Amino acid sequence: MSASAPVQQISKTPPVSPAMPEGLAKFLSTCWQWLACFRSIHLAIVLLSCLALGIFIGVVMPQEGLVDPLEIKEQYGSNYRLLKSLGLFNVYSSYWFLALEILFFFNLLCGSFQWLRPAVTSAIQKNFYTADQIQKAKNQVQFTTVLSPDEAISRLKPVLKKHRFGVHTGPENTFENKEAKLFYATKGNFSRIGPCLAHFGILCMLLASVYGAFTGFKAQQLLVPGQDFHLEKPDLFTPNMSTSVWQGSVPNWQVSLKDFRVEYYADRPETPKQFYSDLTVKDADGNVLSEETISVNHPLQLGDMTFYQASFTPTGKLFFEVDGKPQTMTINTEFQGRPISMTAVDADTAANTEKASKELTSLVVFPFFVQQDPGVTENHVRVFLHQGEGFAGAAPGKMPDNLRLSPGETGSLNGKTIRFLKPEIATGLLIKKAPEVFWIYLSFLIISIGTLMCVFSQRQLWLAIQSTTEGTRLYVLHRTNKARASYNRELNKLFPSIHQALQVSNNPLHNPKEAPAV
Amino acid sequence: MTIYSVFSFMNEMQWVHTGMVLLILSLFFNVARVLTKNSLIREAGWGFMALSMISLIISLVLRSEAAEYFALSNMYESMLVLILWMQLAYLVLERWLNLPGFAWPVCLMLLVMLAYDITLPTDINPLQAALQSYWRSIHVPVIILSYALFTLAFVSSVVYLVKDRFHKNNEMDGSGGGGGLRPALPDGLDGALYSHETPYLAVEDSQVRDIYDELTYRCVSLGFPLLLIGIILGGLWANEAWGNYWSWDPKESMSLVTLLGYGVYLHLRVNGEHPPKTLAWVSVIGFILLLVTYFGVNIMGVGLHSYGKIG
Repeated sequence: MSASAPVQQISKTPPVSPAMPEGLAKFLSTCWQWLACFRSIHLAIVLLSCLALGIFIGVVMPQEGLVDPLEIKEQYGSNYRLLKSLGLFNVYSSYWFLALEILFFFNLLCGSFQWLRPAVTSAIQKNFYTADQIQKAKNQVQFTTVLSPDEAISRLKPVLKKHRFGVHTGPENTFENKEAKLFYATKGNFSRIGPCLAHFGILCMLLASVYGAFTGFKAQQLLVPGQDFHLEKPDLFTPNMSTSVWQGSVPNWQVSLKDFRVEYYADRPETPKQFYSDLTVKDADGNVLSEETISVNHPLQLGDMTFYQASFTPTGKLFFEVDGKPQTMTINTEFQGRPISMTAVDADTAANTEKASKELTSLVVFPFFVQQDPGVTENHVRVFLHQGEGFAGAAPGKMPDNLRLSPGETGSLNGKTIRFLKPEIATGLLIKKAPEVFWIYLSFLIISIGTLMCVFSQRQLWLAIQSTTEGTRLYVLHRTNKARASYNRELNKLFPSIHQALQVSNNPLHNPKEAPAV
Repeated sequence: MTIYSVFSFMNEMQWVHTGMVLLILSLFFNVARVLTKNSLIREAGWGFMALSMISLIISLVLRSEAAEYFALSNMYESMLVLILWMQLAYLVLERWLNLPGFAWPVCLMLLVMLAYDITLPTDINPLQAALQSYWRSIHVPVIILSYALFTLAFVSSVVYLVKDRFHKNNEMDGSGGGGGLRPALPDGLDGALYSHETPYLAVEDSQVRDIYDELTYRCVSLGFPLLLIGIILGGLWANEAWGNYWSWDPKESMSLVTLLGYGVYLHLRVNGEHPPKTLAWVSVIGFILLLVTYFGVNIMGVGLHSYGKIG
């Protein structure tokens, strides 16, 4: 880019506020100088690259939160200790990644202060160049017209407004001992604020995350219908920070599960479509705070507490009726590595003698669950009878007598009527306290608006109109902060309009070199 | 009468194949356009691209009708939407900028992408519970639109680098249509009086190739906020579905890496100390990161976004 001698602006704000005591101003100035390395855009580029590299390592290397640490240890063998000490298996909470984040925060903070003032000034202030400056600037076009200066101005303004420029009239000015009228036309000023907003949003987001880390928590609970639990004592409680520094609190609420159900696709019975938990939340005094059905993507929100439908899993309990009598079976043993249930069904009639135990009839149940057993499209059980010391109906080379029962089905095995009612399924709840969510979302909004504003560019025109011996002369200096080719395209449409409106008597004089940056 | 019945004289895949044939025709005319300045050839290239896009839209509509949801849930569908966004962005850019040197590489890129896409599994699967949300129809298209713009930025960067390599500074782009970008006056005529029918301002100091630098910047500067907003929308959805707006899941993390990569590009540009050639290379690196995000993580098939797994 070519640059000529700097063009001075007429209006210029004083560098230091006169109200500030000299000592304080000097101290702040020294601090500001000292922070020069922190607010450098070069540091920002280096930090962005380093953060990208760090996160990339986190993607490529197995992370302990996602992969079993034992598996990682086995995979990396003798290098495991070294790589672990470098934090490569826990990148996002490693000391060096945290240091990068802190440095990034300070770079953003200092950089934002540095860029904020010129950006806001450029967006809000109306700066006028003198006619001399406009005429001497290299990036300007000249038009000469037979119209009087006043007539030219009255025709020029609508043309600029038609091209969506905001036009501002400047102070009286003289150039070569003749009066000149100054104008400043601009559009897209808001785009200068965009980067500041985006950076401010990121700072807010980082601060909100820190607030959430000190006050938020997560809890997990498995719950079967009819059961309840206290929020202060869930199955698993994880504060967002180490408990020694965590400052949050847990509400003394009681959560009960009225019912839980899973809905499957009709044509894909192995794929759950949705699952629902009917929850009731009560406060310490027993007042019902909420009674709602939650499902995946539809959590229950109570202030800064949220209850999510996270998962479901069989508990290992199976409900049967054997000869009309209810029987609850529990997974209590295994057969060739497979968990099964083996429970005596007529223990009440059998005496505790050695002979009786030999004749004891037990129900042996092999459960099969969708999503846990490959190829299974429906929860079901396979039931065998174990009498005395062997399976009923067993013979060499022959499968013992058995029944395949789906929930609700009844069958008969060796004279016993067996009805499989249902397996017990527990809902997996995730409970989260996130007091920072509002601030995080607000930050998201600010960042989004800020970055969208950056898409646009600021386009400026400085105009000087002066009466000369050849007629009225118009000098136009043009500048944009980005996308110069697009601006040139626009000017190639604007200038012919000016040419026509001003009845330009001769061809415009054009100097295509770039003007110095403001 | 449903949409399905109107377009069902061909099935979904036949519409895709039709779109491919139309894309080949568009490529043919856009290559011819480099050799001749006939404006009809330019219009034919543009028109066949528009028809190809319509054809692919119809295939997506038929697919969505059959699936009973907006068909944007697996790799095949997401790539089809990526192609559609790229076509739309190209059609707009082409009307705006009229760049023959950009048109045929985009057509070629789209053709390669579509050819790869139809080799992917096209089964329609029921949606998992986590995917049954209106967020899916918001988050995914926004992200894919940003990918489309970054891909166009990549093509533009490559064209810039090729032109830079062979020093074709005096190429007359923008031929055959009014309002196109035109070359500057030759050196030595600066400050001369000339007719107002001649453009007042040059594109970029007599170097037409620099329009590709600005095109790259335009695509990145729009793609960047879209990717950012897409990631944020994903965060909002994740917070509703999984109870976490950020989980350091491989797909999320790589999206952030890509975002940071393009963030570096924008900061280098704002800094103003780096030549367009360096910026073009940074854009190419950004695109490589995008490929890792889009394909690499899907090939790994791990994490919360594993439903996008290839194969």
